[in-house]
Amino acid sequence: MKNSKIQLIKLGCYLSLYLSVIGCSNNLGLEKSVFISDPQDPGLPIYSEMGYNTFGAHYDRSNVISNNFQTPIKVINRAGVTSFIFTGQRDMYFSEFVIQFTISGTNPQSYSDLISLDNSFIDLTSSNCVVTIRDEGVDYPVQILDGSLNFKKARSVKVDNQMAETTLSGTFEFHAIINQFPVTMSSGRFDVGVDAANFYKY
Amino acid sequence: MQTLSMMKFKLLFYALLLSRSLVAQKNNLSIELETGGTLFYAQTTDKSYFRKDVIYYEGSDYSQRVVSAYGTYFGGLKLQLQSRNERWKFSSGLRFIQTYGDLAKNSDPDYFYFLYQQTSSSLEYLRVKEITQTTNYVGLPLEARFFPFHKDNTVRLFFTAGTQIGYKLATKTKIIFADPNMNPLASAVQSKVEQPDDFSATVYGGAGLELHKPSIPVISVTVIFPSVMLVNHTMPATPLAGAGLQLSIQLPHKKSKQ
Repeated sequence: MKNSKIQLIKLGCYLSLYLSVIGCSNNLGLEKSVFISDPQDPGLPIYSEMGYNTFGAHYDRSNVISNNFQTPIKVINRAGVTSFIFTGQRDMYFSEFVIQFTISGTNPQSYSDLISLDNSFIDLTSSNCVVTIRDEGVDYPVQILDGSLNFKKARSVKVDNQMAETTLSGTFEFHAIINQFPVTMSSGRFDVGVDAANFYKY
Repeated sequence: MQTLSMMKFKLLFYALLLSRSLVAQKNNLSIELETGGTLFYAQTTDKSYFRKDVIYYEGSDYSQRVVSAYGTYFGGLKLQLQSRNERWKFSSGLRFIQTYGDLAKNSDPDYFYFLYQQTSSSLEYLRVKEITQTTNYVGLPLEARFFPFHKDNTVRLFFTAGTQIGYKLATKTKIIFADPNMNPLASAVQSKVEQPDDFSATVYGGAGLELHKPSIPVISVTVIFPSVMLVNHTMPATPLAGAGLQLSIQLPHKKSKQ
């Protein structure tokens, strides 16, 4: 009797491990970046609301865009303060570029709660918002002069009737002082998917 | 009066000539049984109901990894008329035509995301491995063959050109899901996939060989190239051009006594 119980427990463990592996590999296609050039701005991805895992913006006269090597977005909820970290590259030279928007007062418990951001407008000059830029490995605090982060659309995505991710689509732009120099981030757009793999809460 | 008689005589003379010609033509009538098929190079058209799968930094705008295949098969019966100098053959008849279209991924993972439903707050995808569409037509072919060389050869080379118009009888769309539990949703997916037009039209050319041996029917093999569809009558794939083979057996009409 004892042996059969142990066998059942082992079977349950193997089954759970198997299912978790299957669960991780089920939506490989959704994680891919689908970069479709904006015909009006060919260096940037076209604005879309399909979770194509792209973002892009003009950073003064250069372009900052997502790529196929780094996770384009990570969402971190740390004690009720949520950061949206966009990681990509600057121009075609593959130098890493990171834009981080940290917003207090947003407290998602899981990636599915991000749907509450639908049609949200965030004034980047407000006191509950901090913007940071990392350029070629160096972190720069950003003194925002004016600007906004606009979550135009947040949608839940199901695949084969199973919840798969939440897509966040929107725009951003700002004027700022970085390292004592004025900088403009313009025509910023993003269309990204957030699931259990790139949502963190601690 | 003499003029009227002359006219009557001329009419009678031409009538006799025409009837003699018709009798001669009747000796050159034959029935042809045929079968064959054509494979087409097809281009996948951009459709909103499947999620794009794009290679980033490929140097071109983007490339679809969802690819399509298209082919046709036919069998039929034709009436063939040979010219008096045996250099030309003209034929027409009835064909049963079946077209086959296929849409699938050619890279890992071996499924694509079919957008099943979309609202302002949600997207629902189904993982689809393959969409196939089979359509049956009844067709009217019109074909001409030209024989450039001597008529008494055992093997005769010919060049052919033809056209075919088809009327749709029935179509069937089949969906293969990555998860078989989604099979109950097949009819909902089928309703979103385009149906072929009621009519199809194709033009084609080619060359072939006719085998003439005593005591057996005339057998001909034709290489069809190119074959071009004039009407886009398929699901999300546009057949561009194709090539194929046609096999036919000619049954000669019994010669009348002269």
